[in-house]
Amino acid sequence: MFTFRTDFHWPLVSHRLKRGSRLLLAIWALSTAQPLAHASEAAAPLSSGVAPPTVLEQQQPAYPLSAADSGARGDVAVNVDLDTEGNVTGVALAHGVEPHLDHAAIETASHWRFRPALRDGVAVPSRVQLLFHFEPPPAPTSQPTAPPPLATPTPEPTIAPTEPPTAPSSPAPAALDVTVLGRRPAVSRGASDFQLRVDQLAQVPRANASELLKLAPGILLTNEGGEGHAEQVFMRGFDAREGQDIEFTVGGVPINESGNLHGNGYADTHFIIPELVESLHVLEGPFDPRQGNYAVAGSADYELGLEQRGLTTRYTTGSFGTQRVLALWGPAGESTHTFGGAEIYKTDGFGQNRDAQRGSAMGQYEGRFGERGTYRLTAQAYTTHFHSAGVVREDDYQSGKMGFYDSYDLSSFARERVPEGGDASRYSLAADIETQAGDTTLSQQLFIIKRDMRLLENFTGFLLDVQEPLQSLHDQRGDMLDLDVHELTIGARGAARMHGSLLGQRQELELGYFARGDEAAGTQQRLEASTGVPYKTDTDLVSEIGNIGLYGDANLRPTWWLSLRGGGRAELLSYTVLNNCAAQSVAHPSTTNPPLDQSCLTQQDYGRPREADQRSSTSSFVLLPRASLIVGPFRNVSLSASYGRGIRSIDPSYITQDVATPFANIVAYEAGAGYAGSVGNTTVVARSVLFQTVVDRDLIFDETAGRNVLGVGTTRTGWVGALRLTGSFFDESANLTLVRATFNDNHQAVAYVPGTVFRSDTAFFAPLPWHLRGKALRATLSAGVTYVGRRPLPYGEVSDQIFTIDASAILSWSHYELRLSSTNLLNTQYRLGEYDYASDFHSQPQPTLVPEREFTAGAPRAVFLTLGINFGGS
Amino acid sequence: MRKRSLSRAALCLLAPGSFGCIGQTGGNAVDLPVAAAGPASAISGLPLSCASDNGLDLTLTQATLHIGAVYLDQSQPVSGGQATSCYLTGTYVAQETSALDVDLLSPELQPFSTKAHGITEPPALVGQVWLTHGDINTVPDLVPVLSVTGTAIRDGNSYPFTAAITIGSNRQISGGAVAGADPICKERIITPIPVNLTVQQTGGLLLRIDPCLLFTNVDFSQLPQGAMRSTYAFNDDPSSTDYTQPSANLYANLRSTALYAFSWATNL
Repeated sequence: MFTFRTDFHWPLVSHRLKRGSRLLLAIWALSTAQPLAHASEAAAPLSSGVAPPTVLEQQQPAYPLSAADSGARGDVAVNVDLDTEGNVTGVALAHGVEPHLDHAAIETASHWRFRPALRDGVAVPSRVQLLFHFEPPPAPTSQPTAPPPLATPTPEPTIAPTEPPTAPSSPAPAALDVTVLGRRPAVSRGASDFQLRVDQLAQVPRANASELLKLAPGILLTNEGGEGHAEQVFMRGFDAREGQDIEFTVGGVPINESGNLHGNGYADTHFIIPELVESLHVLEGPFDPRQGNYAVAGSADYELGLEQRGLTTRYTTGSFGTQRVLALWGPAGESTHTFGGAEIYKTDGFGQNRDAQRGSAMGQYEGRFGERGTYRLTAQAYTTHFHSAGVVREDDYQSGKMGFYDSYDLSSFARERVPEGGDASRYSLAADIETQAGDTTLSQQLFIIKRDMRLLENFTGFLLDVQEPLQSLHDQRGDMLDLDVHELTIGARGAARMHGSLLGQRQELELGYFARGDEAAGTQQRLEASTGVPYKTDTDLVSEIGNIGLYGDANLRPTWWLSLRGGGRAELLSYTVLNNCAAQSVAHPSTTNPPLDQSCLTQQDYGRPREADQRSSTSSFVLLPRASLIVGPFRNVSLSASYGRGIRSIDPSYITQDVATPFANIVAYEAGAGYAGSVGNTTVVARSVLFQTVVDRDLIFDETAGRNVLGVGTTRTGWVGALRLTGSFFDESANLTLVRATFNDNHQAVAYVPGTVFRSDTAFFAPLPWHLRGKALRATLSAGVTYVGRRPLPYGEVSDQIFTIDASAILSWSHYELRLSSTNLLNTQYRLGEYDYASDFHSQPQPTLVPEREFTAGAPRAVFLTLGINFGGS
Repeated sequence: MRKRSLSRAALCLLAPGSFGCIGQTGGNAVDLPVAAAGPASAISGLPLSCASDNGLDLTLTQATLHIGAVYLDQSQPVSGGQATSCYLTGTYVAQETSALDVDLLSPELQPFSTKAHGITEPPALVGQVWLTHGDINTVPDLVPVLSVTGTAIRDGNSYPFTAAITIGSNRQISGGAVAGADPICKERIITPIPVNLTVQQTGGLLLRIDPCLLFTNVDFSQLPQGAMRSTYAFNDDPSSTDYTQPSANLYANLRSTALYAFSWATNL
């Protein structure tokens, strides 16, 4: 335990002298393992690595009516314990004046929120003392009954020193006023609302930013499409495919792609440089009125930031010819939200046909807007070219015809002229502003996104190209899908959040909107395996999709221990779809001039002309109620119950003229309990949630389409447990999800959905007892453990289990860092994705038409070495 | 129903790895033996006598059929429904992709060399027998799929005969008004054979073929004599002037679904 005192400077906190108010901050970093002998280090200025907590959300106590008669006045001091997420975990009276005033001070302090204290960039538990000054309301003058008892101006809260038992008494502090410019985080929606700071868990090996999702419970990521293909996300019993059931955003900017032919709502997060992710907000369920389209299983928002200042470069080399060059820049003196970063990555990939190259660049500037506001400008560019191995039939692997990591595309019996893989790019600009106007916080954001994608996939081999009438005689030419998508998204969102006081409590109301327009053009063709030329056009769509959302969100507190949060959201979606391939067959073809092999047909039907294209337009409206009830905390335990409705808009290819857009609707319920406190020097955050979700139209994988298509209703029932332990030398996040997903009609299990998912992320970090040129060596050991239970597959089949360990060891000295990391350390041979459907890859003498197990291989053990250097950082 | 889901979820909390928690999607995938055989009434090693009520006495001394593959499908046969595709709609529930030369005179079960793959749900309603030596769409095929020898006696006349039927270029219909309507695969696939069985986890699939039915409505008196004057030969070239009623009917009977009967055999 150590103590320090400082007139801290934080990029988002300004300090100015003000008469009559005082500030002195003292922090007991409860988690530090530093002995008192290291007090000099502890007392060092913040630039040496210690940063105090800063206020993110505060409120003023009203003068209690019950104390008015006594005329009590004075300063009430309370000690406030904070966890590593900046949440208040305990409030204790340090200096009281009068019971009613004391209670008002304690109750008020319990609702403050902070950015956690940092030690060497690591969030640590801390304690601050808040000092509240109370003055009784002035006596009535002309109207004895007029003055409202709560209208008394309340004093500026101050952060005052706590007297540590072993510390000498402090001299009188300087008088300061604190103005907080940090952005307000969204209020919690209960036990399924995870504000995940990455912190030291960033050291756990992760291939991309998607894998940060594993910090939230119930997440399984698979990928059958290659390194440039969006991860398939399973969240709490949902097969969200490539994000269609999760609303993904980065800094509030949407990632889901409306109108993407591969999946409406497709969300590729590979453009995010993992090192630039500061935190992740995952809400598992549609419980927040801010959540919009695609928030069926929940939502995930990446908050970007870079703690390390200066210029940081890293070079990684390792297995399978993998190389990665990374450059990060955080200008000194600017906030952590001002940064730049770029990466170049290439790999030959494990096994066959898994090579990939990508480049990504992200930059953001955060500046001051007036005295109480900030603005951010964000730019991003990303491009990739990759190949994918596709699936392997289990019988072919068992018979030795295919290796575990092989690809049919390169096999002797099903070789493709153009192998599976694709290209993708994303470019975006965003600008946002958040400022205070009286009791109202205003925010506004604009964004524009350009996204292109080409995807080559073949799930079924040579199965679907049956001989049709009016076609030239042909064999099976192959089922390779060549999907090409071009999208442009322009949108905005904004909100006004007002707060006031009622019943002696802070009450909040937010009104906000979301607006988004998408223009998406997509084609899907089939390629002939032997030549690589397209022989058929499945789809050719140009879609214009509008989405306007309007919501109201209240945070009502009848008493200090009860919060009712929620409201409603109205969502309007409109579609205009031009289908350039609307006619794919002819009802009564001419026998003298048959259409033969044409795909999109302009034909005569008994003499009536029929053009190949057709336009459809429609719109639909939905109201979505959402509410959460939060009780507590009592002895660090809070209880919550939530209810919400969510929607997923449908694929433009399903649009019919003037038929209301058939949303997929979800109704979700949950009840949970959370504990946030400290045990010794360890901060403990634990949650337990029981949930049930009902979807009326779920997405079911269709191998012939190569994606999920609309199916029948489903229900998920399950339990989530999550635990985070943070100490001075370790950080541990573990979660377990048990869920049962069934169809509503026959109550059979939903295939592919994992019923059991366990994930543990662990990091140990400490200085080593050796010094080099007077600077200590530091070491970090980290590990990520994943267990996924058996998953039901179609036709009564059951998948294998998955158990993998990723680990890394980091040695750092001064501005240098050496990292050795390994994924799949145990070299487990596992099937990452498993399927069961009919496919024919010409591996047997005659066509294989009966459903059979297929799998995509998980990566074998890989080892990477990274050298990092920081220039100009602290 | 919600109550049942909740109670099952509660049980899964206690035993998350149990099968009940993994869930059941319906049916099972199985690897099953498949065998083919002649009529159950045949006697191994002896010629097969086919009784007839129209004055024809038929004795087969040799009969072999080459089967390239066997499939069962769930789709309900619909008249004209599969008019243009060699593959059936619906889900295939069993497949035997290895080939077998079946001795049609033997009642013994003759197993295919590899096990078939199947699923126990849904039940099979349609069967397919593929008479091919290689790729179903490769037109040339000079190797007979059917080879049969025997003697027919009618009205006191004896017709010792041989037949060797191929399905290759000789069966390709071309020049039709509708391109692609008659691919060679449609000549080689015998379907829809009515089936009413469910693939099970024990036992196997049995295909019985009655060679006597090959000669339904065959007028042996119209058979041309073969190379040896004492024998008669069925013609295998539809474009030949010798391709008369007996040859056409033999080929039609070969492609008749009545010839083939699928059943589930528990002793396989």
